[in-house]
Formats: sequence, C-alpha cells, structure tokens
Amino acid sequence: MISNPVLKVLQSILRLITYQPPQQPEPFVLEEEDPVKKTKPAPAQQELQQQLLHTQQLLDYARQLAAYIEELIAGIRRNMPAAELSELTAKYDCFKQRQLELEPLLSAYDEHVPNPEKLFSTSLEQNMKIIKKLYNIPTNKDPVLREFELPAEPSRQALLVYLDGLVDAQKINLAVLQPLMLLSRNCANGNDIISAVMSACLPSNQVKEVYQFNDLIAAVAGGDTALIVDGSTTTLIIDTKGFPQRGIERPQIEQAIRGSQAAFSERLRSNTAQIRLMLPSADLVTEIIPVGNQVSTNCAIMYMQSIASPQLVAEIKRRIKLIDTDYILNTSLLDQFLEDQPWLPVPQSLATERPDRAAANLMEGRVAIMLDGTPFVHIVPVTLHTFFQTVDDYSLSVPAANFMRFLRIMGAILTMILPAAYLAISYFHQEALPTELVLAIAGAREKVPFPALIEILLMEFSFELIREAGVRVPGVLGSTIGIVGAIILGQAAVAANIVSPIMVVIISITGLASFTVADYGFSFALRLARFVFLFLAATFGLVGIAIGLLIMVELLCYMKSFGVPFLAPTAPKTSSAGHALLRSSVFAQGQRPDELNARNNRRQPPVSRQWAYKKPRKENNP
Amino acid sequence: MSLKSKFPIIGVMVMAMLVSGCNGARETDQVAYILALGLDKSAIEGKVLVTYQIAIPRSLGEAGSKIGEQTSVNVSIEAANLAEARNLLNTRMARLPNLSHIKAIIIGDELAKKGLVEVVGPIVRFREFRETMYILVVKDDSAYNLLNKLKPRLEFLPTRYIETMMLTARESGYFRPTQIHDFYQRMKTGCMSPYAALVGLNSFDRYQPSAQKSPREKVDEYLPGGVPRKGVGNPAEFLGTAVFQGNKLVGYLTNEETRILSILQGDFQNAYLVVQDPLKPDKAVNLNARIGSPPKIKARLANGKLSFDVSVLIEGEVTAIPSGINYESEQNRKILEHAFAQLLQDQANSFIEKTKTWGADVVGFNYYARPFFPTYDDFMKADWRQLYRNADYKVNISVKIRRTALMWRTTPVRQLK
Repeated sequence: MISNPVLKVLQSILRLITYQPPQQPEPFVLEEEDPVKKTKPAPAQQELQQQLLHTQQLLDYARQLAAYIEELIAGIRRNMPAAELSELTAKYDCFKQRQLELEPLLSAYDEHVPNPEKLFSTSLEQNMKIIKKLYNIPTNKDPVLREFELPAEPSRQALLVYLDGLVDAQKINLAVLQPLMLLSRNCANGNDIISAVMSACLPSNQVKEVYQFNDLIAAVAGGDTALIVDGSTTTLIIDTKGFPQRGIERPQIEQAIRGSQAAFSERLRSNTAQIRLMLPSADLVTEIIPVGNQVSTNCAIMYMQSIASPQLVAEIKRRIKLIDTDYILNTSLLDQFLEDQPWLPVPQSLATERPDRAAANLMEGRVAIMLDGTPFVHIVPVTLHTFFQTVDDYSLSVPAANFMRFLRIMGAILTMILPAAYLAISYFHQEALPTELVLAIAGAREKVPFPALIEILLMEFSFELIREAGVRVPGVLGSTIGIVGAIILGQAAVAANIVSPIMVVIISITGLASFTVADYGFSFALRLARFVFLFLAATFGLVGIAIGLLIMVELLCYMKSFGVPFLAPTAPKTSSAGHALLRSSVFAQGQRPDELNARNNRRQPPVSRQWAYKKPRKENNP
Repeated sequence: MSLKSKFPIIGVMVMAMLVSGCNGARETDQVAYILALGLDKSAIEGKVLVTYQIAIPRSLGEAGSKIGEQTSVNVSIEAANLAEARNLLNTRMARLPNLSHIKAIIIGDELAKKGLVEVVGPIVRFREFRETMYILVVKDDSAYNLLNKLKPRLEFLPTRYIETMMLTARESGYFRPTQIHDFYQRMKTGCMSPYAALVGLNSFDRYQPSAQKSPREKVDEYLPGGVPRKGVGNPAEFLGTAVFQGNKLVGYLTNEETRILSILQGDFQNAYLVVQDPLKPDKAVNLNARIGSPPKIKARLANGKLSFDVSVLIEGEVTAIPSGINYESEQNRKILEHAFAQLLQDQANSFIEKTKTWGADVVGFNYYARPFFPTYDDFMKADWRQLYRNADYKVNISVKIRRTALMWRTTPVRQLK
C-alpha cells in the first residue's frame, strides 16, 4: 500500500463512516433444552439382557439368603449339633463373599428408586450419602451435617441434620448435643438405642420418630433437627425451631378505631394461636392439610366443631386435598384454586388480617383457611354483604354503624356508576339536569377538545396510574405521588384545557368513593365494572347503565361461594342474621346467618338482655 | 357451554352495540341550549316571528363570571311555524338546538289576540318541549321586545329571573304562574278560560292606575307598564293575568283581580292586604293574609238559571296599625275583620262582573255546574258562555284575624303638649 498522508486521511475518514461490527464478547443466551436430547435413547437389546441377568442374579441371591436364614432359624430351634453349625458358618462366609460381589449391582439398582421415598438404611454412611445427594451437598450450603459419637455401649456414630438459619443454635447445643454426648453413656443400652435416647436423653419438648427421607426433609425444612444413629432405621426429629419471625403487629389494611390491634403474621402456628386466643374453646378445631406436590406447604383450616356445617367442612377439605400443583405461594393463590367462579372478578372469600374478625366469622359457622407464610386468613363462604362490613361497625352504636354502612354502600354505588351516569346524562339526557348545571358543564367543556368519553377515560386512566404508582413506589415516596398526582391532574389538566373542572370533580368523588369500599379485592371488581358501565353509558345512555346493572345482578345471583348463594340473604330471601345490609342491635341478633346452615342456628335466646326483665335488687343499708 | 364457545355470541352483541349506539348522543359542545321562546305576529302575512333566547355556556362555565357579561343571545326568525323556524335556525347556528331547557314561552299581545291554536298544539305534542314551561303574555308589546330588553341585574340568566319570579309569585299574589300544560288543558275543555301570567315593559315615566278606587281601598290597581317607577334597570314588570276565551286573548286582569282569582281558586298563599282604617278613614291597616279554608262553591239551577254561592275564609295577621287604635280588642277586631271582608267582597264582585262581560269562566265555575247536565254532550250543547253571563254569584268572604304580630295592645303615639 502506498503510504501517502492524503490517502491516510482518506482511509481514516472511510473507517469512520463505514459500518464496522462492534467488538463484543458473545452475549449470554438462555438456551432451550433440546427436546430430542431430553428423551433417553432406548437401551440396546444387549443392555436389556444384561440388566435382566443382573436382576436374576440378585433375585437368586435373595432367595438363597432367605432359604439360608430359614434353615438357620430352624437349626437354632432344634439345637442343632456343632458340625451342622460349622457347615452353616461356612455357608455364611460364602454368602458374605457373594454379597461383596453383588454390591455394585445392588447400589445400581438402588439408584433407580427415588431417594425421598426411601426408607432409612441401617448404615449411617449409606444414609449420609443419600442425604448429601438429596440436599445437593456440597453445592448447597444451607444444610449442616454434624457427625459425632454416642458414648453408649458399644459407642455408635450419629449424625445431626439441620438447616442453618432455621434452627436455634442454643437449643442444639444445650438440648441436643450436650445431653447426647454426656448422658447417653448411662441411658443407652442394648440394641434399642433410639427409644432409650428418646426417653432419657433428649430434654426437648417435641421429639418424634420417622422412617422415610421424605419426612426428614419436611421436618428439617420446618427448622427441626434430625438425629440419625448408625445401625438404626429410625430417625428422631427434634424440635429446634429458631428462625427469624415477624412479631404480632398492628393491622395495616383493616385498621379499626376500636377493637383488637393485633394482626396475623406469616407463621401458621402463630396465626392459629391468635385465633385460639380469641376463641379459648376446645370446640375450635384446627386441621392441617399439606398442599403442593413438589414443595409442600401447610394449610390449616379452622372451624367450630359444634357450629360449622360438617358438609361445608368436608367440601373445603375435599377441594384442598384435590389440588394438584407443584407449589402454592400464598392464601390468595390457594383461594384461586378453590373458588367456585374463578373467572369473575368478585372475591369469593374474605381475606382478613384481623384475628377478631376471623373469630367472629368462625362463631357464625364459617371456616378459616390459612397457609403458612401468608399474614392473611381467608374466610369462606362469604356473601356480598360481607364486603360492606368492618370491625368498627360492631364497636359503634347501631345508628352510627348504620350510617357508616350506608356511606360505604353509597360509596360502592358511586364507584361503579358515577362516571357512567355523568356520561350518560351529558350525552343523552341533558334535560335531566338543572339548566344552570347543564350550562356550567357545557361552559366548562367549551375549550376541551376531546369528546366527554375520551376525557373521562383520560382522567380515569390517570387516576388508576396514580393509584398503581402509589402502591408500587417505596413507602417514603408514597405521599409525594399523591400530592404530585393531585396537583398535576386537578390543576394543570384543567388549566391546560385537557379536561373540564367538572370532570375532575367527578373523578375525585369516584376515587374517594372507591376508597370507602372495605375490601381490596371487591374494590377492584367495582373499578373494573366501572369501565364496563362507562362504555355502556357511552353507547346506550341510562338504558345502557340499566342493562349493565341487570347483567351484574344476574351474575351475582348466579354466583356461589362454597355452595352458598352470593346474594343471600337478599336473593334467595332467607331470614337474615340481623346484620346483612344494615345492622340491628347485638342483643337482637338471635340467629346465625341462615344461608350457612350451621349446626346450631341460634346464638342467643330471643331475650338476651335478661336483666331488663328482672327487678333490680335493692341494697339494704345496714 | 364453555367460555370459548360463547365468544362469537359476545362478539356479535358487542358489534351490535357499536353499530347501533351513539345515535342519540350529543356532546355538550354540539348543542345550543334554548332558554326561552318568544312568539309574535309577523309583519308578513301567514308568518310568525319566533325569537329564540340561546344560552352562551362559556359565560357560565368559567369561574368568576363577570357581572353584566352577556349570558344569552337572541335569534329571531320569521317562519310559517315552529318547525320551519327550527330549520331556519339551523341555517345560521352551527349547534343543534335543544329545547328541553326552555323555561318560558312568551307570547306577544297581537299574536295572543289572533289566536294561539297553531302554536300551543305542536308545543304540547313535541317531545323536547316540557309541559312545565311557563306561558307569559306581553301586554301591549311583543315578545321580541321583552326578550331583548330583559336584563336582570341579580340573575345570570334572564330565564332564571323569570323562573324565580314565578316561584315567588305567592309572596304578593299579584300574578299567577301558568304552565303550558294547564293552559293547554283549559284551552281544550272549551268552557274554561285559559289564562297566562301577564308581563309588560315599564317606560319609567308613567303613572297609570287601571281602575277607580272603591271607598275602602287605599292602594291603586295596576296593569303591567302602569306602575310608577324611577331610575333605570330591568323594565320588565310581572303583574296581572291575561285572560283568553278559547284560544284568543280577550282581556287583562289587574293585580288585585288576579289575587281574587287566586282566592276563588283556593290557591291564595300569602299577600299583604291594605284597607282603610274603619275608625280613622285617613289611615290604613295592613293584614298579612292567606287562605284559611278552601272556597266552598255551591251551585243551584232554577228555571234554567244558575246561581253560585261561594264562601271563603281568609285568615291573617295584622302587620300595621298606624292609627294607634286598639284593634286587638275583641270589639275592634270584629270591626276590622268586617272591613277586610267587605274590601275583598267588593273586589270579588267587580272581578266577576268583569269576567261576565267577556263570558270567560276563569275560576272554573263550570266544574260545579256539571252535575246539572246528565251527559257530557248535554253540557257541550248548552251555551256555557251564556249561562255564565246570566248566572248569579253570591260571594261571601269572611276574614279572621288570628294574630296581631308581636304587639298585643296598640296605643296611639302620645303627643307632648
């Protein structure tokens, strides 16, 4: 090449303007597993014959061994002579020899049996091997295998298995290792070392025996420690739970001005305990059903034995047992597996974080479903009226409570149809408004370039954005979003003539009303319905809203929550428990909700304020 | 049926909605809201002058509208009828007229005298007109003038002024709010006289009492336009009643006659009555009166001649006794009650005489005469106008003073010597 300065400059310019592939390392791509590779190639004919041969060998050996043992037993029974015995001893050596030969075959066979379902073997080494394989040791760093020696006669190797972080180190040190290392010398004798250790050497409150690796894994995952002793097929599970746990805190979502200030937390046992504290009765039953195939979680159902309908309890148990899935994360997911109409947005169970609310519902004959790891308890079955009730209703006087109920019902109605009604009236029924109002609306909309439908959708969308943002942003920024949203939407949008002031009023009232709805899931359902009503109103006016309401009522009538009509006691009409829509005095609520078909429908006699009918006793002044 | 198989059905339903919907929908900025409708006789033969008062929404929509800002605009069109007028309105106004917010139909004097049958019929029939609209007649002037000169100072909308006026009519009883429904019903019965509220324009330089005062009267009677007023401002005056015979205007009732009409119809809510002090004729006594019991009207038929006995009880509260005479005492109170009763009775008699000359049954006496005619056809055959003219009317108005306001014994003002 001619090295000429002009050419050099030209070349460098050319290099600048022509495309050159960037020098990059090859990016990581997650490759799909080749489905062809996944399926194993069919074993060759020869290999199959080999396997058959091996199996026959093993079987032969097993049969011979069984015959030998029988012979031995028979011999011992009839006190056989020494000559025969020596013959048998020789045979024993022969068997031992063959066993050593067959060992590789046996272990190869063993590997085909899925490990978790295996029983413990007598060999500690074998057990340890399986445990290591199950827990992926040494890749997995959580499990701890602690080997030590039990100073019994004769001394035996033992192994503790637990998960680091889930156990209380103090408990293992003082209540497991210390007594086992020091005390078992005295208590352990003979072959039955396990029961000896269990009865004399373990000052732990909960110890149980297991025989399968499955049970060991489940127990260890819950923070317990497994003790495996060499030579024993029984493993002891010792309670050493000590994982970090949230304490009982104040309710975050269902706050009550008066009433209990405790909320459920993540741990199942703490939650069942809280309900049990609210209902200190032997009648309260807690049943635990594990759910999930691959990773199983404990699901508890609680009910009052003498109140809840046995049919209802059976049905709930049936549904939970027949869920076939790998893992259930929380109660809401479980709920979606259980509910009758999963495609309707209306919640079909009541999620509560308040033990007092759960207790009150259990006393009416409902059933509480809870899952380990969820700070919410789901109450089933529910009716529509449930979602208008709060705990505060019952701590205030009847008029005050009913006023709040009325407000909430109005809130729900406004949430659903206020924007739609505005749209319908401003599109189709302008004569329905006072002249000044119609002119004010028209005047305010004069400079807005969009049709009212677009305007309302714009505002609704912005409002939902603010709401979603408010939920998603970190707590510190939450209040900022509210203020910024209000300022931007309220002031700026009006000033920029994007929306009319009256629209801001409508959307604000609707937004405010939607916050009065007591249940989060229910408020979501109403918000979804609002958009449907909006489109119906835009096409058909008030007739559209009427059609929408009709369809909605039909759907609600059709719905059932665990076999209970969703609109009971309104439709079908049954005797109400005195607190369906509005609430009566507590002393007048003589019956439990009729739709629950409780075992015992009466909760108090018609006259529960007995004192009002008795003469006051006069104090005699001495 | 699975959800998937329902999709075509749902799809068809949604499509049907989208295809059919939105037909009647109107954005607020596509609509012109008409507030009042004025109807006048046109200079062109066979035409009507239609004046639409159309609201300007912009002036009401913005916060802090200025006082005196124009809130409505008037459009006048000469057309053969209302339908044509509406079409012609569309040729000059971009927005679609919405008639459902019309508050008042204002009818010019000349058109009223010519007859309203062509105008009121379509108004009652067409859906967008509300039958609760008020009907007003402009005395000696046109609706066009009234709508153009009506400039209320307190209200933003001129029709709001008319509406409020009609709602507060009960304060004085000087005019009667009439809705188009009542007017039409009376017009169609044939024997009742339709009437409408009377409105006029004051020129601020006239004093024109409409009738001679009777001896007991202390205040003047007026027709619209005749009230002595000073200053400038809204020239409109709501006073008296326009009386129709059939569908033609036949005459006017003054404010006091209108009040008698209310009393005889049992719809007299409240008014201040003024009478000459029976014991000191140069002074007057005021009474805040209302109807005590609905009028009892008894009809008799003898020798083809009807006679009506009307008895009404008026009760009230004394509000002023300038003479200082103790009318609270039992004896004096009777004298005062009698004076008021006489005043009203005189007014009632002259009212009936006036309507007799028109042959216009404004009160609705025919209702009480119906029992003497076995069938409707018999009644229609009889000449009710003539019967009304020939009938005898005996009006007996009694007055009871229930309270004497906050004073219970009047003494004259003492003059120091």
